[in-house]
Amino acid sequence: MISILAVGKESDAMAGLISVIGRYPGIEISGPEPVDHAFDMISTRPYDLLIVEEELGDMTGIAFIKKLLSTNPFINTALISSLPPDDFHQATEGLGVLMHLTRKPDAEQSAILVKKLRKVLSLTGKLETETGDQPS
Amino acid sequence: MKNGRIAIPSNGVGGLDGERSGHFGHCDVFTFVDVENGEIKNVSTVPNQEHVQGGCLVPVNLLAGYNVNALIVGGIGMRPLMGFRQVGIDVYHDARRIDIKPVVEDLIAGKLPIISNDQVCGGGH
Repeated sequence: MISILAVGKESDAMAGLISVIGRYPGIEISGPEPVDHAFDMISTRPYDLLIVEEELGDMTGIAFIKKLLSTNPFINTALISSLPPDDFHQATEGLGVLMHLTRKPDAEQSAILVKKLRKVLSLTGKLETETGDQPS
Repeated sequence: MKNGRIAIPSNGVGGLDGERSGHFGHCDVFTFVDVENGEIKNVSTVPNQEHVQGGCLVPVNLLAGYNVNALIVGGIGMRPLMGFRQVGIDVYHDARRIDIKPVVEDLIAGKLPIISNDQVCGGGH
């Protein structure tokens, strides 16, 4: 089972993303959780991916990912960001962000994210194959 | 370094007389140099795995699986650096020389510095 945690505030965009990804077989997604609660959850469970909002109230999504790397570099991240692609690349280079999501991720972006995650998890041995069923 | 396995991201077929790759994640192969009592005992190569965006921890898992003790890079991002530290692989830095042999000899002689956090690649530091 692939475990995903959304980090951020309740919003229509996040709710839509969680709903779409949650329909994929073999994927369990929860949240969105605020920063402090997210770190508590990460410390007790091996999540495969965190989907991080651009602004988290007391820190930015990028600052959250930097903090995450210091203790949990093996957790993959996807970041919701309004930055243009080149600026996003510049701002996150070296942080190993799996995917740049737009402010309102659609089903196509969700599908790409799931495909990328399965690919990485297969390369690291977590999954036997990168292919998986489509959402129900 | 007196004993252990050194990994060097390499271009082409690699080997002790080969050339280093500037980006460890995109290298063709990893050259492994096994050191015993401060001397080179064996040299081998392992193909790198496919590089995907956000897949920085793929080579970390690969090298940990081959019991690598030290890695020499020209550049590395913060996430893989943290990953290597977490699996106990020391990461050394030399951004100048393209040839594998002199940097390996310097590491064995204790002349190569461990990379610091402010030497990581990209805007993410």
